[in-house]
Amino acid sequence: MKKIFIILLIPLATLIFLPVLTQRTYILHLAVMSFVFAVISQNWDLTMGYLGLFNFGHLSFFAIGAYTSGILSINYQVSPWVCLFIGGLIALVAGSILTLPTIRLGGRVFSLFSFSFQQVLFYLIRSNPMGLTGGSQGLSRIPPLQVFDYQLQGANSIPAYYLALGLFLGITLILYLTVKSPIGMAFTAIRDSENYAISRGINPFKYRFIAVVVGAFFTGIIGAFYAHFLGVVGPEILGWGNVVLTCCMVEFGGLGTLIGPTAAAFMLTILSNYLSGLEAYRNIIISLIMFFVLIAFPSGLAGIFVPIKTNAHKLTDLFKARNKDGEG
Amino acid sequence: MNIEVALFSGLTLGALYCLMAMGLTLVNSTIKFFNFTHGAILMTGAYFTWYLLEEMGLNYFASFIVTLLLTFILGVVVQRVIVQPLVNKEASGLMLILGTFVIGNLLENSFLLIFGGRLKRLPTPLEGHFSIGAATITYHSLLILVTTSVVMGGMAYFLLRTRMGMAMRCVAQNEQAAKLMGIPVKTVYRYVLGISSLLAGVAGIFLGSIYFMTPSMGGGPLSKAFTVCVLGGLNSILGTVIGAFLVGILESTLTLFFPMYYVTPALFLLMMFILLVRPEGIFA
Repeated sequence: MKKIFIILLIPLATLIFLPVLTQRTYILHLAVMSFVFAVISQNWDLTMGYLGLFNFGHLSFFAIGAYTSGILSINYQVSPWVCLFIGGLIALVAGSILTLPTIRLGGRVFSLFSFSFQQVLFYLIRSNPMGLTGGSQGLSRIPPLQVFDYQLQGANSIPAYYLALGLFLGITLILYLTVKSPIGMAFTAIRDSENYAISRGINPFKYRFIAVVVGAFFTGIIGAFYAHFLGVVGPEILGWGNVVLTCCMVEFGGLGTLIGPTAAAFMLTILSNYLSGLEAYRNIIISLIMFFVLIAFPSGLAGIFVPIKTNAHKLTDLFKARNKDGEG
Repeated sequence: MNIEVALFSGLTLGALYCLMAMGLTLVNSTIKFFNFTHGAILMTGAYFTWYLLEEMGLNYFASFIVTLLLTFILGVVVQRVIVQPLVNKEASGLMLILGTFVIGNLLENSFLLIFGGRLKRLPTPLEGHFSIGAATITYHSLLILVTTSVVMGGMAYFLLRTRMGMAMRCVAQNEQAAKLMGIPVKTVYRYVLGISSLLAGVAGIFLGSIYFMTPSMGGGPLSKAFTVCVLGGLNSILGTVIGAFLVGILESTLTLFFPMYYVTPALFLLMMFILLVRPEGIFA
């Protein structure tokens, strides 16, 4: 493990000195977007990889964070810094609404429930209730975060870059510590063998709740940051393309590794932005890459580079077993 | 718009959802995953027919039959290319969902490149309409209803009376036991995906003549078909059929009282409610 940390120092140093190395705002913008998507996919990995709980509606927490923060700061002139926190809190509440009624009904019901939750949210945002969400136009002119006189909006603002980096590193650290702590052990125990975990005194419902809610909170915060950073949010963040791209980041990187989804988030964000001029070709290229990875490396990139303890087959057996439980 | 019109258009919608959702249920009960290529295959069905009709100059009936064949083959290809390799690797349901979505995305974007994003519309084979009371009924929607009934009858015969249909039901009930009894599970999977794609193709042909055709036309019907599947029971074809007509009629009667925007989220809310109260579906 020590070697990995030394290897990780190089990209970390690059990221810290990136504004010094390059002045091109496009690269900085890509870096910030990568931070945002890395945080989303890490948090998604927390429920999907570490708990084996397929939450199809994870991006709805992101949208909730972004929209709450945007609406509060535009319509009620709440300070963006407070909004950042409130966005996270509302996402947390949404996470518990999603989890509490369904957590005892099995993984399959939870996936379907979160899927429909996201659909409801998507259509509600698009239908522009009470003129709050701006319909399919989305919200625009969201006020930026401010430190003294600096406005942290757009990629040409270097403090914004460092705030994004700070959020990304901080959340990564917290998640890493959580995963290594007894709580994280409980997560993997439940994933690998639920009955055995129960017999050892681990309450699976409690830990599933914790994982979803923690993931929702951080995703909400990064969503709020996203809104204030770009100044615009549209309903397309809940669109199919975005959902599957983000889901692919987790799958592509390797479930239950944290570092894999992070790396994959950087790669895919950069790739999809780089190809964005090509429209249809871009989607075809990304689909082909996904297809290849799914067939050739089912346990993701991390499966090749990092020796991980859990093998993917155990996890997939569990998915299948759970699917079959769901019928009876 | 009054209640009779709404009921009849609900019936037509229900028939289309039924065609969509039956295929989904078939796949979901045997291979145990949600097939996300289904929407794309629906789209290819519409485009194939359009191409055969407009570019090749075939008549409606011939292009209908050829489209059925093509979508069946497409389903078999999907099974060969993505489903079977992942099933062989004992991949999770998540990976099957992602894999089929990726293939769907590939299909949609290739069709976008080939045919362009311009709105197209399939011609209807039967023009004209008649009216019962206040409701105006086009011959086309009557054709949809009749075809759907024929397809449903065919499916019932296929599943209850033929060897392959019985094999499908065996695999749905207990895959392990089916394997032990010498049922070729891979072949069954191939037929399952082929037939479900064929059903999606039929739905696509009808949708293309009611609404406009775009390469992304499959998304909306696909998510409706999900609500149908959950409502009617994830593993029961009969439940799906009842659920489809229920959702169709509910949708068109709700549009009488609420703005269009709120109907789809209302259906999803209903789905969430059903999931909490009766996770196995109403008619399972």
